[in-house]
Amino acid sequence: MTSISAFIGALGRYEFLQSALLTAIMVGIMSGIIGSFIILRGMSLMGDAISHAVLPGVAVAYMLGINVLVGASVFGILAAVLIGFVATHSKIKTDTSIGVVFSAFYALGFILISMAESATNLHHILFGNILAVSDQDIMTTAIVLGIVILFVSFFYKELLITSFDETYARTYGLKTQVLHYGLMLVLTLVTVSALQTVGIILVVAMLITPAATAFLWTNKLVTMLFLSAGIGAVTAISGLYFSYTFNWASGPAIVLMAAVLFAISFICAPKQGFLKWRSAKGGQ
Amino acid sequence: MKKILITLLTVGGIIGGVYGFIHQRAQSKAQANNQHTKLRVVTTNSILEDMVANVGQERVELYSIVKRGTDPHEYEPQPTDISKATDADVLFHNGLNLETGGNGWFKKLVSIAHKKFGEDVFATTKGIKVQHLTTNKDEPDPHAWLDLANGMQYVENITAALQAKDPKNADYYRRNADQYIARLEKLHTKAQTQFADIPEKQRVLVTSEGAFKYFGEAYGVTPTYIWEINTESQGTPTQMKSVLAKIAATDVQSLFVETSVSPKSMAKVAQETGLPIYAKIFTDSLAQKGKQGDTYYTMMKWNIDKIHAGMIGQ
Amino acid sequence: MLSIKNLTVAYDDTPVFTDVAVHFDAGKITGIIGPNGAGKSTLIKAILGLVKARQGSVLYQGKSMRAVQKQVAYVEQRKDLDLNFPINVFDVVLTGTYGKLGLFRDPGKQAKAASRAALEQVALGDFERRQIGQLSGGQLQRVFVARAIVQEAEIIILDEPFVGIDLQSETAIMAIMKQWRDAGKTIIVIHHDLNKVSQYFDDLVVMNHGIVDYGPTDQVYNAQNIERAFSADLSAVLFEKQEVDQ
Repeated sequence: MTSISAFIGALGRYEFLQSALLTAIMVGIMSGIIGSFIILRGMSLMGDAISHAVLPGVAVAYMLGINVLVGASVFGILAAVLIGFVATHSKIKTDTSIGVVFSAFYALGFILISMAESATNLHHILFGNILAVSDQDIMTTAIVLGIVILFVSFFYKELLITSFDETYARTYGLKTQVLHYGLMLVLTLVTVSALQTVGIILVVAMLITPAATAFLWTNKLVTMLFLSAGIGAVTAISGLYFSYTFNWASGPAIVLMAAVLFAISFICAPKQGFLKWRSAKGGQ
Repeated sequence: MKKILITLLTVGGIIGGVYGFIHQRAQSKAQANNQHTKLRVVTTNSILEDMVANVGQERVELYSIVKRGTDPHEYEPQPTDISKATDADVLFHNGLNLETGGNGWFKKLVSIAHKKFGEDVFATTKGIKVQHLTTNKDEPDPHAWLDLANGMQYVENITAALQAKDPKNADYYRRNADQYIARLEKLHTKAQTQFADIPEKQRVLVTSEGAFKYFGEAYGVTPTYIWEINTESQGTPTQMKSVLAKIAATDVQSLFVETSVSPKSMAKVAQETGLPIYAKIFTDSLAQKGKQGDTYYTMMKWNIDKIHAGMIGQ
Repeated sequence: MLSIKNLTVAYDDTPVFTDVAVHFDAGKITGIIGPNGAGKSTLIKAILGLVKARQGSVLYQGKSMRAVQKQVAYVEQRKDLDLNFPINVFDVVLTGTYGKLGLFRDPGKQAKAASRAALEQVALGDFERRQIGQLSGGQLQRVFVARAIVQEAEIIILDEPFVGIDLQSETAIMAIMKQWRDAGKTIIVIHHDLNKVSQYFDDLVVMNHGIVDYGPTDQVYNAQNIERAFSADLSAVLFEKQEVDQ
């Protein structure tokens, strides 16, 4: 266990590691919270789509010199709107619509970024750059985390009812479309923040895996939200530990840890785990 | 109401806490007082690493970032690189846009490690006559070390920096440097006349990257290349056309490829021209330890000898 | 009275029904019957504002449905819900209070007490902490009826509530509906088959791409209407006894 104490010691000495850990934990928490709603609403593919669709927004922000969050949010919402539009105004189903729109946005973003930035910066955007995160990035991440907590807290019951029974929500007059786009907007902000830790390609993993893991352990939404946030944080810490100790790329290390936690939960979790299903089948 | 209050307080606490943490950290930048006896030196690539090893020997603790066989133009620093850089007393980089061109990975690393150019970070190319790229006249060509005279200047600069940071070993460094420079001088003098026995139209050096401008000027060969510098696109149709035309206008006997680039484009040229790739030569990196060319001296000797033999057509 | 006039609803260019007129009385349980695709679901979706009508009006006591939205409770088909959702019986019923609470208020003691009481009314008081996927069809249906109770609405619309439920649940739900009816509320039920029509419903609406007939059940539930809505064979089977008696 000396490598663990080495890691803790290194945390005390190296600022870059402190920054990386703090940011990764915040991203883990916010991804877990929003990710819970994403998976319960059956929107995992949408989550993947938005994370890719923000790329042109990031490129445009770099080129115009404006805040990345602003550029990304614009394109994130644009993609969400376009996906909805295509699905409702044609016989194309939603998952097809998602595939068409997000890959187009992603390709556009790729071309724009290659024009605006060097290959390595593209590498950072695609795979994350948590070891080089600046103080300003940390503050921005903290603010996005704040927004996520406020959003989920203030609109908890609206998120609950629209995720569980949207038709019913519409019947008592809840503006479900507005809430949907609100969620898309917050998702976009989270995605852009998560870009720093794991990059565009793996953001969906941070959104989905901790939430899915939490879902295996509980039948209550509030518990799931806290558990998911906690798992996101643990994932970040352990991922960075392995990255530091074995010189692995940080983003992928974090995602791998998330998968490991999921695998363990899949097998062991009492309420939903694999062993429980198997024994239930055997008992019949 | 209560929930709104708790939520606002929590969010405020988080944001405030993070803000506070960042600011107190920025202010109290008391570096951990690591008592260590040996000077800690970090170099960007293996060539600089070898030079520092020759001058500092057992009195320095040496770490090199870009491992042998990897391209130092664009590099992704790993956690160990960052911690070593943070703990270092002095860092050496080539300069002339080798590590700071393109996306400037080294500049970012220096800033993350809280080091300063000129205070603890030094370019080994100080005082060298700089040659520029032809594709972009404002950009310098970084490959100065392939001329041994420049290499000797590197060693001088390194020695001066080590002496300044570690004065109690100043004489030791000076003695090692003098011995080392003498060896390099001998090799350099020999190379200056070595290529005289090859007719000029044959004295053409074809490589993937245009790294041999300094080498060419020092030792009398004409460098020809596919792409000028590794941060450019590598092996585009335009570049291929151009290099094939240049080859056709000469009597060149062989092609060469570097150890730290992808050999695909040169293989294509070999196929088109029917010329053999005579040998792998070294530019941005030394050979792996234990193999031939694993020090600056042996690497330069290898290059000179192989290039000479390849030009004759042996 | 809930009054519908000139109603036309279409998906793309295919009309489901055109120029429909019908009304639902307060203090009555009205059943809607008809074959698959007859337009039953579409009719209530139009009442609930879930689909837009091409033309026509839906008014409750002269007011638009939008204006009385908080007075309408909807008990939807069970099959459309995700039963793996991390929510328990009590919390489902509690969502019935959301409409009246509005955006920034959370359910307080009153809302929780009302939910508890509603669950007692449907005999599910002990099931509060059960996750909804652990219930039988009948129990689940009672949960949603409890949610409707908590809404304290004037109009309650139920979509095929008697599909696949046990007798105990059926009886309990019918009892609740009769209580609502006696309190003067308007109850509309889409019925999935022709079982016990005369037993359940005071009034009946028969549909087949439009209204075949509507009115008190004993007047509307007859051979001609069943033949027009469904088929001659079905009508013969159901009203065989009457023919023999004649």
